[in-house]
Amino acid sequence: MTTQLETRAIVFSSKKAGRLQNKTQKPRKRWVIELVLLLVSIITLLPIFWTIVLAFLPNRAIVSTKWDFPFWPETSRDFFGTKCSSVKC
Amino acid sequence: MTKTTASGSPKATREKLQGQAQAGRRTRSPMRIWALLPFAVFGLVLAIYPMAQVIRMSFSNVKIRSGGFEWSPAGIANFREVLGSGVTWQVFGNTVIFIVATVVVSIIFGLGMALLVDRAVMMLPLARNVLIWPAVVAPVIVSLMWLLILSPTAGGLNKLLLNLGLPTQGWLASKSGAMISIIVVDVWHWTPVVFLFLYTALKAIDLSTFEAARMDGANEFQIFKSIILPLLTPAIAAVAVIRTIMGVKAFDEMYLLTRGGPDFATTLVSQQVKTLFFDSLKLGPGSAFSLVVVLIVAVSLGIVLFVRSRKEAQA
Repeated sequence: MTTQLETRAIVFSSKKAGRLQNKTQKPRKRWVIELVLLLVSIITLLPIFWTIVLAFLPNRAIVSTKWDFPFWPETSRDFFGTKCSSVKC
Repeated sequence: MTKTTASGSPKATREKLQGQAQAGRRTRSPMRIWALLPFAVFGLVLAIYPMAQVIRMSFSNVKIRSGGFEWSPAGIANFREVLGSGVTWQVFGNTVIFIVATVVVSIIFGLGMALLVDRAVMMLPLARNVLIWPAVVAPVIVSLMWLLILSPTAGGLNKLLLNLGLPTQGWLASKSGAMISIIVVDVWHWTPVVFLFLYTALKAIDLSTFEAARMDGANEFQIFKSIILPLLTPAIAAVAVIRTIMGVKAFDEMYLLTRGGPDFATTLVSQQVKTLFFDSLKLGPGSAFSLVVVLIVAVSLGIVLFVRSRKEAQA
């Protein structure tokens, strides 16, 4: 037969064990892994990102050897039909 | 209780299933034949007939005259012509290099990505989505994207090198550069598939296995070497077979990026079949070449699967 005090002690220790278990089960952040994964994600997206950048450049800037990026929304505007597209007409 | 256990034992279940199978075999329902008919027709029309035509064509001298084929027997002349050509062996060599490189590199990267994503916390939701994006891009768009990076004139890579004061490279113009470029493009495009396979297999491993290993004092490398790698071997083998088949079939990206050049340096088997069949209209040699490729792939995969099944049986 357990006394009331013993029961309280058991309840307390089980709660403490639960807290400890939660603490140990919480996933640890490993910064190196997170950074490497960020780098891998950026490298994976780079070709897609580059294509998006080129979509907003004039033809002259695309074929130029200079590293300049003048914003040119006309291509996309043409493509999405606010003006008569050279492809469609 | 005892009765239930006896009837639920594996031996009893096996006997029951064998009995059902025998009973099924004994039933001669006409419905069974009708149910099989669509598959038989599809197999006949889509697999057996084209294959038979290719075999027939490879032993014939075929010419296109007034909208139809003109057949005359050629014996093994087509095979002699194909196997005697230096281009054929160069194409086989290119394909072997391409397959070995893409399979090995994509498995290494895919496995690395799966392990990283499995251990990540903050980057997990983002990386799990972003890393499979290349696989959903159409091959034509992939070729265009990489052409805008690798092109010697308008390519972003040469632009970057030039602005850093480094000499520009003819990525798609030199033989080795073109081969490395198409390998990079294929690895970028299809590593996400490998990653998906291996990540799913990794997630299927029981976590208690890792906990037990950690309690026994195993470090991360030992866990990888002794638990993860052996348990992932079937998935790696499956993905290697799939990537090999994809390598044999690879066509669109290479064709759009290099057109098989320079000087046949990136011509793979699919493109050579296309050149022989549709560009040169050499139907006999084209069929002989296709048949040789099919035989090589079938024999290689047969050996791999046989060795694997033997190993599994031994295990």
